[in-house]
Amino acid sequence: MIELSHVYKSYPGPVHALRDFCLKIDRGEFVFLVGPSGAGKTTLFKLISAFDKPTTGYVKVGNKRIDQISIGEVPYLRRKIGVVFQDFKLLRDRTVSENVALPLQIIGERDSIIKNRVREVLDQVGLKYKEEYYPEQMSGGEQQRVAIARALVHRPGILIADEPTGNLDPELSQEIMNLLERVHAQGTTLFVATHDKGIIEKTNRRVISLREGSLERDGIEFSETNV
Amino acid sequence: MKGMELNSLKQMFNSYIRSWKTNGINHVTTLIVLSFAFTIILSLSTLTLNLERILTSWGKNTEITVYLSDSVEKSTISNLEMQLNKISQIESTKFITKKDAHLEFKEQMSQYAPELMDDEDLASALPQSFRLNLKPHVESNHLASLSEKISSFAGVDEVSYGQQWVSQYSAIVEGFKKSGWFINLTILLSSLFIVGNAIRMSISQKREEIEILELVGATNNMIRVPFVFEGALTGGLASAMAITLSYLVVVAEREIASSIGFFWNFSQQIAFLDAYKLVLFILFGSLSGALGSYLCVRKLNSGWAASRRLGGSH
Repeated sequence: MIELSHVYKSYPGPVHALRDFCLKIDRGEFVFLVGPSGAGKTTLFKLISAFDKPTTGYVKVGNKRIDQISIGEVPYLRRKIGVVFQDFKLLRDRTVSENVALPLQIIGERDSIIKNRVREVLDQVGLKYKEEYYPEQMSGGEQQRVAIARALVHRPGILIADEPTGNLDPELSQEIMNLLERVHAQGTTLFVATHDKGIIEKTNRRVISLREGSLERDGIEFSETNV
Repeated sequence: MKGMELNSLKQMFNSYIRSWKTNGINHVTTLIVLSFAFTIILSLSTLTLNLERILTSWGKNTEITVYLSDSVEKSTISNLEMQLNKISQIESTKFITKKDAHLEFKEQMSQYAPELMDDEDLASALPQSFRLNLKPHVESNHLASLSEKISSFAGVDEVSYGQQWVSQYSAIVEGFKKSGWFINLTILLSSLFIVGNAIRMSISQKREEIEILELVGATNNMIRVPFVFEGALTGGLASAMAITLSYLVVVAEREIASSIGFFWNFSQQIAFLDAYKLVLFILFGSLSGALGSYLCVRKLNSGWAASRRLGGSH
């Protein structure tokens, strides 16, 4: 599903964000990504969601190599991936339902289908009765659930989440993780970056640990020093 | 839940209104500057049109007087009349005898020089002539060549078209038209720059929205279209404002013309553009706005744009 082979990513400076990084995530896996700030987590997500290209090596999502697709194909690749960020990235001047509908509008889905699907996914994240709210009228946890609903509404095969609980208190964080578990149970491949060791400990999932741009550890066993 | 179509007219219009609410000063500034630029274009066009109208009105009244030699014989006069009637630019000819000329002279000058009215020498001094009326399509700048041609006919002493200066005026109008094109082109290019600048500000203001659209897989065109729409709307509004301002300029021109040029009745020749041209001008404004905006946004989304602002550490 996701494959990175001997990926190097450098930025002017030079800053070596990733060094000889290899990774393979199969369809339906739930993988955590941990590492201190500056370890290369955001770079990794940028590469997977086609917001950047590797300096050398390759990134493969589905059966497409990111470095081999044209600029015009990038939006179509992104439609196969749901992305959730720590700061939610919601349009503040649009309602919850308008935010969630965005990916379906972009693929040109019919109005009636959009309405039904938006209601369905809002029900799934527990926000059925807040579809006409604006983001600013909602709590951080609710906004993150809207962001997850938006990432899921078009049924992507992959959901990547960069610190989805980073701005939330422990209770809300757990709520979001429960939601992600439910999403995973429906067959979506999940790749979640987090600093929250409590969450990782509870789930007993595969954990990939990054340090200074290199893979430090990859396995189910979890060490507190990784986070 | 409302209509869900992305980039529907309603949605783009609402986005434009929101943009005004959050960035009103920039929008007002752009609109004022653009309106003045368009006002200059429109006023120059109107002025050129009116100068041409004045020229046409003078052209309609243009007469050529062909004075005959004293010794000319009747047969020569007949031949000359035939030759004049063959000239395609001439609508009609009228032969004025010495007697007719004297009567006209008396009629026109009796108030100013009554002592001359009974002067027999004067009556005989006035020559016979042909008075020629030209067809409406004859342009004033062709009068000189026509006059030269008639001068060469037998029996002709002198040709006079009382408005030789019309030719010079025509040359001035022509020069004005040419320089008008240059000025209008310069202003048009500046307008594209002004709209582009406004759109650049708008892009900066909507950076986050663009990033989110990129995140969820919007294509380049989906991101660009609302900005082009915004440019078209700004251009359309500015051209509508320019029409209002230019109309006020025309009203002022009429006032000035009626006060200083009463004798020539200039003010009747000063008109504003007709409705059809005004609609075209609004379309021109919208297209200029859309073009300025498009030139600005065509490289907006390189496919990787949002990565620059996604933040976080490497």
